[in-house]
Amino acid sequence: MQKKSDSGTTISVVSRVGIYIGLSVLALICLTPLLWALLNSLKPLSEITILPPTWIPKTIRWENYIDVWNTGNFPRYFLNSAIVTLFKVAGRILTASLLAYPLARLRFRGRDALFLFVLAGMMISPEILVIPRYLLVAKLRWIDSYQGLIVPGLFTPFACFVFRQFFLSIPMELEEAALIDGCSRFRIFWCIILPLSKPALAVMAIFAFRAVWNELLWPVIVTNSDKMRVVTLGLAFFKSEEIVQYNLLLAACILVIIPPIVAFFVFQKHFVQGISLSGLKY
Amino acid sequence: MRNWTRKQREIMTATLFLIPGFLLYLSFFVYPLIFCFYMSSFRWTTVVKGNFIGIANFIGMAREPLFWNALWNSVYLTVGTIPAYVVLSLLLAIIINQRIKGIGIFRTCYYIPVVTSLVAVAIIWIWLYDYRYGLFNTVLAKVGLPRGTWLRRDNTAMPSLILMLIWKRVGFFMVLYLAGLQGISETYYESARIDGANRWQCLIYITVPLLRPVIFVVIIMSCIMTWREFTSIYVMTDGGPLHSTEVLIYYLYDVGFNSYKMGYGSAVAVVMFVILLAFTLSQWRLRKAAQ
Repeated sequence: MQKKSDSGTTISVVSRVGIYIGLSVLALICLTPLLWALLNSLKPLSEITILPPTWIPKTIRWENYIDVWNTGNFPRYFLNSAIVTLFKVAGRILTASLLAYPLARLRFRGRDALFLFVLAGMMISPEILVIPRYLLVAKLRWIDSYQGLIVPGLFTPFACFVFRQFFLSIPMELEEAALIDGCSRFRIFWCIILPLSKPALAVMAIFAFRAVWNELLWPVIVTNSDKMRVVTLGLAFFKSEEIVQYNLLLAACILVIIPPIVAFFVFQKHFVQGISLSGLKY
Repeated sequence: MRNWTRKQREIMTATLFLIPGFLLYLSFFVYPLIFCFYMSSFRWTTVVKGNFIGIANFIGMAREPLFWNALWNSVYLTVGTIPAYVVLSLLLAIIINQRIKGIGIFRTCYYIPVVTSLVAVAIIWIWLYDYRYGLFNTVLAKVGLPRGTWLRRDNTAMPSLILMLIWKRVGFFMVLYLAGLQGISETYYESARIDGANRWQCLIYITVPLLRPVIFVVIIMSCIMTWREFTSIYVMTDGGPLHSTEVLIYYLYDVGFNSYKMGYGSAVAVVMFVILLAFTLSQWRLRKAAQ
């Protein structure tokens, strides 16, 4: 009994079973750490320190999640992360697409030089700029504020590059027709180009969301009070507290993981496209 | 005349579009980069600018064992993770690319580590590596092996970090490969099969050569990602024990924001900038040579 696979070769039942076993083992490796964390986050403290450790909690303690939410300052961290993520994602999309539009569709002297100049920025990793950026933000008196967290990350050359490539693929005729009808460039951008770019917008939004939500180095540097911490930083500090209970800490981890996982399941296609797009950087 | 004003108007609109992004780009990319070079030639403690000292920061760096240690650790981390990112991800992508029933579920499973938040995952792995209650040592004890020291000892900390990062990122590079694989035309495989090639030969003589550009991208991206890796080290080891996991970016952070030697820190940043730039440029070179 043989079946045709994608690449046209015939796969026997035996190797088919073998492939499934291999796939399952790999899937198990991928999921085990998270499953282990989830199960441990539901155990009461007395159970988490049993030797040898067990998989299934004997008593499930959902209250761990309520405790985490109430101890520490997690509601505030989540609020901060939500604010920072919202502004940064929206800002990155807006500034990058605005900049990309004339680079892709208007004709003026020095346009290509300007594009190359912005393109070169993709070679700069923001991590190496933390010291001068910190001094700049300090001079602006933005240390420990939302402006400090948000503004330096409001523009990325990569997003601009992706938008430019996408805008180039939109037929010029659409725009010319609108121009003849007396439409302003800004209306064309807002009412024609952006709606046509929905796929690119979605991909870049998810891409930016992932990057911003998980960011740690910049928040570490630019904030110093507890009330300005974002979730990643709050979690890192929660971990380093002396008397932290590990079941609560793991519950906090699960809470922080939930938003990106939910986003992944809702926007799976865009997630994957975002990753494959990031290969364009190099 | 009308033509001229129209041209002017075009430039005006273009400028309006360009301003927000371009200003942000200048203030938070270009200016800091130039300023970083400038700072590297000063003694600069916290936000207070000191004397001009020329290349003394770089000389001091060359004499500083901790700098070389950090440089070596970055190389170690890169060399430790690259084989998995390049080979394992490719194999996964090839398997995932088959149209087998239920493959979607497996694909999703492999994405999950990529999607999760690294800070949370790092904390979870600290717990997995725990000497008494951790999953790894429990399994080792069950099969009768001695317990591992994992993150607690200087010679096992880096491998433990590498293992975690591989788990976290293999799926990421798998996606990159997958996009490349889907661009390879079926006809190559069909004609090879007519000539009697087996699966393995197809992989070595068709898939790998055609994927060469993607392989380059994966190599260079994983290098750059690894050199930028700060989060897991900050959360899991703080660069320790005994500076054994202190990579260059962590060292930069440490001298800049724990010792407040910002001039010296900028010199470290300049070195790192040059290294990362070299990665990117060599990639362009390689790709051109391959074409």
